[in-house]
Amino acid sequence: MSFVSFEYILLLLACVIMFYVLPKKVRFISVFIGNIVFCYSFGFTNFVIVYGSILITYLAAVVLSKIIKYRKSLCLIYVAIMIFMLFNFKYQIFGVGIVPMAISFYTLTCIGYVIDVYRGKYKAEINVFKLAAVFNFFPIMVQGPICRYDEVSSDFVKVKFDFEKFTSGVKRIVYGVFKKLVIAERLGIAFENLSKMNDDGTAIFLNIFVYALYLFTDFSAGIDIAIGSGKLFGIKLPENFNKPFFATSISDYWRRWHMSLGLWLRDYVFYPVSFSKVVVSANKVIRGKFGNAAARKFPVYIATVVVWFVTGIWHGATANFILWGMLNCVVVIISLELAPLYKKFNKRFKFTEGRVYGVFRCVRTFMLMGVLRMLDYNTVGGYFKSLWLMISDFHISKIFDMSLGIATADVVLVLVCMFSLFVISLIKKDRKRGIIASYAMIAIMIFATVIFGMYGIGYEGKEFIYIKY
Amino acid sequence: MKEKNLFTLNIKMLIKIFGIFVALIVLLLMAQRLLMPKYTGKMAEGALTGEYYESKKNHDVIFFGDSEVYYNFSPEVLNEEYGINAYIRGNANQTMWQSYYLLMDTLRYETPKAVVVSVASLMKEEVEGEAYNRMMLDTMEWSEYKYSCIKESMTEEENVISYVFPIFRYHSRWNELSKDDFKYFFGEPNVSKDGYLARKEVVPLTRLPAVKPLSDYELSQKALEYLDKIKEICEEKDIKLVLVKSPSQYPYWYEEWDAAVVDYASKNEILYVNLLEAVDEIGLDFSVDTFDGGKHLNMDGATKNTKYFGELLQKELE
Repeated sequence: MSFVSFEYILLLLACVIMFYVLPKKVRFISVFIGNIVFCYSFGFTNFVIVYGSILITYLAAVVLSKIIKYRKSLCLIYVAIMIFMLFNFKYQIFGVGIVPMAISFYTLTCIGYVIDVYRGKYKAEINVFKLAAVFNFFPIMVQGPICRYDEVSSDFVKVKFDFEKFTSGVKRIVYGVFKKLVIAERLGIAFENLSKMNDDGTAIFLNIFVYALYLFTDFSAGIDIAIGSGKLFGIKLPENFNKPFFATSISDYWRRWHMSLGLWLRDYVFYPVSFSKVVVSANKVIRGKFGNAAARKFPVYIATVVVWFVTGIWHGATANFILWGMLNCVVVIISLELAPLYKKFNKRFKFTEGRVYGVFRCVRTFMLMGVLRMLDYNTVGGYFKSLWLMISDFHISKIFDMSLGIATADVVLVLVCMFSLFVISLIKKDRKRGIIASYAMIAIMIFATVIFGMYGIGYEGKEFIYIKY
Repeated sequence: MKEKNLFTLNIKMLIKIFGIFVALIVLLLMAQRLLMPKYTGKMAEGALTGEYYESKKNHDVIFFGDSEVYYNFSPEVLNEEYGINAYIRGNANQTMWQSYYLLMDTLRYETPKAVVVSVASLMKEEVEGEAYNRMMLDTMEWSEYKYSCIKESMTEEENVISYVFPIFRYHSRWNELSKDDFKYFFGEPNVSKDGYLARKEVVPLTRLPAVKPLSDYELSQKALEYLDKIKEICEEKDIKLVLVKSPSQYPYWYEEWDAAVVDYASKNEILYVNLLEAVDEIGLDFSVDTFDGGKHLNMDGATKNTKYFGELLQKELE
């Protein structure tokens, strides 16, 4: 079942109605049923794997909350099992022929939950159906966001129907569908077309921009639909983006892009690695040999390397993704090392406080990320070849002659929409708008999506990109 | 007092929201009208189904079939020569089940004395493609028969929703709109004369394509099932059923097919007229009477053909 389909809208509508009609104590049943229908639409094997993982998670958390001895060992065994399952199914080690939907996302959610129970952050959920309703919450079962148990479980009993929140949810869903069908699908065609011209430096260069916008509109559209759907049930899912193209450095970019993954890695990889016994012991040695400054940096750098290695491998266990992670890591560490120098530079030259320099930093970050992101769609060999071609075979005059595989009218439409998105992103999110204005906006977006959306006969819609991760 | 104000505000708000969605629906309907293909001038076949509803429903005879019907028979000639008031409910590549549902649709308005069904589609088990479905179904009025016809005709890639809301099918035409789309926004002039598409051009038949032997000469079971249904409803409504094969020179009409139709007609005591066998009697000259090299007849050919067939039809109606 696709996120942008009549089937999904019908399922969502049915579950939401059931949710508010059912007695408060058993509301989670509507979500549970929605989850089962959605999960089963991807096949029986998928269903068994997803619910099998949730059952293991449930048992691990319940046992952890009951025992006093061997808690750490049990927690580690559980994490190992889940990671093995993730790798096994994602990379088909002992393949079952399918990659379960959203396995990379819900596995992290499950692991986070059991670790939190182990840490005593909250008690284990004893109602397995409620746990399944939360972890397999169908709007997040496509491409996240990666949730914490306490965020999603926001007691179903307490939720009251709030027309304003409901409106906001509907608006977010419509906005997501608009972004996916009107913008991302067109950019997807352009990206595929330019990717075929992998021996043309100008096409490779242009594709950096096209892919960046494609990836953002596609991924954020799915997140918009998920967050909007959550709001209909009174569930506030975490945001995943915060204007990433306004980032002024790579570190800043990663605080704005796929935020739920970043925060998960911070809490369950970065901090545990930084404060692990091995790192603390090694740090003592480093402090003795190289002094306090080195000792302050060592745990941070070690944890950063591990985090980026995990991030790379989470995206794909291939050389290109591992290199992508490591290059990000190198840039982040260099930025950290050069931070004092930047500070001095900024203090010395007043123009660095101006808007022009701010824009320059955004463009610089955008380009740097674009170059790193080329590893998403290139092998390592192809990546370096593309970099070389971009330098040796780039002709600015050819840019306007490039065949994008879409009509000129489509290109104009995408540019107009992207400009609109840019303007929307400048408007403060917390600014209160009236319900009537929201519905007028919803109506305009529905109209634009119906007319300009890329769907229907003769057109094969593209899956969300992040569904593969 | 506060409660009352809140209530008033909510009602006002709900009315406004309702108004917004009404405006959205109106705009979408207007956009749908604009984006749906206009058939005046090009691909006239797409307008045929819809034009029937504008005609006076007092027909003696109604023809059903594909292009072998709407190009080769002229209701005007039937009326002038024999006083038979006829209409053609034909479409490009119309299948037998589509003919059946169009007959059922027709019976909602009138009960003709006779129904003439072209047998040219009897070997067709499937529709030719989505484009033909759209041309036949888009302008058909909504009824249970349209729904059933859609369900029966749809290709794998189609869905019913796009027939209920054709904007979902035609939305992508936004960047190919032409002057005609705006010109005919409020309606199109008729392209046919009682379902007949007249063609004046002459493109003579020079050489017939080679006849390829088939691995299987069986008629389509599905088409025969629907022909049975047509027969049954005609019997029930006391309508005379006539089967006809137009004198089109190709696609080739195999002897085996003809024999099967002859057999079916005799078993069911139905008149079957194979006009291919009467080309000389009709007086057809395929060097001047066809507009596409023998496939279909032009106006002169259709006039000759209709005059000949009209005589047989008149006898059948007596």
